Amino acid sequence: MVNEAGQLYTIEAISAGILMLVTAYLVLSTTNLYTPGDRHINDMQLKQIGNDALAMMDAPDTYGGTGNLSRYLNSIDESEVSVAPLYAELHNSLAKTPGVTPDNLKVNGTVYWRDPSDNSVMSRTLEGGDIYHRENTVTVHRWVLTNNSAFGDNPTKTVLLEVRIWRV
Amino acid sequence: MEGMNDDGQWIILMGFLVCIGLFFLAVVVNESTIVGRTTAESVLDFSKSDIQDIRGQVFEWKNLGMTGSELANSSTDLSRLAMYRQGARINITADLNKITIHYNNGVTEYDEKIFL
Repeated sequence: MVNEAGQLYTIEAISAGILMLVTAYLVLSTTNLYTPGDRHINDMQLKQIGNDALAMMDAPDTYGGTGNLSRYLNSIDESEVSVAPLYAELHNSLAKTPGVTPDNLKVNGTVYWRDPSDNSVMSRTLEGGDIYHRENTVTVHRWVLTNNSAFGDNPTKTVLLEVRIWRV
Repeated sequence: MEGMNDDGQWIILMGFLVCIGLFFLAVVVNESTIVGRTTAESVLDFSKSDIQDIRGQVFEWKNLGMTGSELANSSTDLSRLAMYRQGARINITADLNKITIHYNNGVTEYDEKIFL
């Protein structure tokens, strides 16, 4: 018959064996590092809030009214003094706590439009944005309806507002 | 095993089992840090906001009562600029009772027919 002596040793040996195997597995699988290649997790979040901010700014206050984005773009003239409120509202929308100095997000906007005479694409950087130094950015777009003659000759046109957002 | 007290073997065994269980839980926690990766990739690849934006814009044109050349001009604006900045092919046709939207950026293709 089987001798009952040494049970504890057997149990200990088996347990220690399993423990060593698990430890080895754990050590080998702990080599997941958050590399720069994983930036798209942050990029996704940044892009989401960027799109949301632009959508909010484009939504009119009342039914049938004009959204703020259209209003800002309509009032742009050569001196471009009227772009500052656009950036202010954008910063405010992107901030974690509105009204409080936003977390370290920088934005920079460009308007693209089609020149109806030769179908070429024109662009104009909106003055007052943050200066871009080749940081990792996300780009969000919004179509804006405008009647500003600065963006082509057609009376009503759809321009593309491109906003770059990056974190510093 | 002479002179060794072999009481409490079950307690010791259970202690070991709990240890092993904790190790497995640690493995699960360890895996959870990379869960967001593929999700974020899918979200970034899928141009949900772009498509929603196009639809919203087309409805705005219709709400404003655009027709004819005005509508054709705006539609060309959209196609041209989307190709230039978003790398997407957009084709919109709108007549009195029907709007068709075609969107293709190489990854996502979207077609919609709206009967008014």
